Amino acid sequence: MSKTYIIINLNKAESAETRLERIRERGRWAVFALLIILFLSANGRVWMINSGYNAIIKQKKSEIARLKSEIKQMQSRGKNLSKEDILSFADLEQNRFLWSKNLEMLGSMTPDDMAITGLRFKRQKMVINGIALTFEDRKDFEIIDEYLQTLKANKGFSENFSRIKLEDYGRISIRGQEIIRFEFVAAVKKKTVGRYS
Amino acid sequence: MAEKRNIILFGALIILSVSYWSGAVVLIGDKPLQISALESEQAELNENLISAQILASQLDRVFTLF
Repeated sequence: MSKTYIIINLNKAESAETRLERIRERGRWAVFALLIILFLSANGRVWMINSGYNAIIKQKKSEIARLKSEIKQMQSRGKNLSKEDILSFADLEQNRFLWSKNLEMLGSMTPDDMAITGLRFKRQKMVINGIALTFEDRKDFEIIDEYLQTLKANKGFSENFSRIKLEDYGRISIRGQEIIRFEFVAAVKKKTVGRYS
Repeated sequence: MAEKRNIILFGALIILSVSYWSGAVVLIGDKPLQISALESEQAELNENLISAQILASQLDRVFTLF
C-alpha cells in the first residue's frame, strides 16, 4: 500500500495575488505622487512668473525715475530764451538778405542775348557786369535800358535795392564781333530795425 | 489605507487648485498691462530726454544721422 503525501512549502513569503496587489498599490502611490508634483509645479510656475513680472516692473520704475531725474537736471541747467533773444532772432529773420533768391531772379530776367560776366559786392552795393548782342535796328542804350527797366519793374528783385542805375556801358570788339558791355550798380536797401511786440 | 490616501489626494488637489487660481488672479493680475503702460511711459521719457540732450548740446546737424 502506497502512501500519498501533500507537499506544502512553508517558506513561501507571499502568494501571487498578494504580489499583484502590492504592485498595484505601488502604482496608485506613484500616480498620487505624480498628481501632487504636477499641481505643486503649477503653483511654483505661478510664483516664478509673478517674481519675473515684479523684477521687470521694478526695473522699469527705476529706469523711469532715472530718466525723470536726468530731464530735471537738464531743465535746471537749461537757459530760457529771453525777449531780447527772440527779438534779435526776429530781426535777423526779417532783415537778412537772400542772395540766392536775388541771383536766381537776376538770372531768370536776363534775356538770351545777354550774359552776366561779373558780380561784385562792395560797400552795400552790388555791381553787375554784363555783355549784350548788338542789333542794327536798335540803339545800344535802348537795349541796355530795356534790361534795366526789367530789373526795376520786378518788385521781388528791386524791393531789396534802394536804387538800380546804369553806371557805364560801351561797345567792345571781341574777335571781330561788336558787343555791348554794361555795368549796373544796385545799392542794397538798408532795412529799418522795427520794434516787435 | 487606500481611503485615507484618496482623501489626502482630494484635499491636496483642492488646496493646490485654489492656490493656483488665487495666485494667478491676485499675484499676476494686471501686471502685464502695468508693464506695457510703464514701457510706453519710458519710451516717451526717452524721447523727451533725447530732445533735451539735442537742444542742450546744440547738435544742429543731428538730422543727418536719421
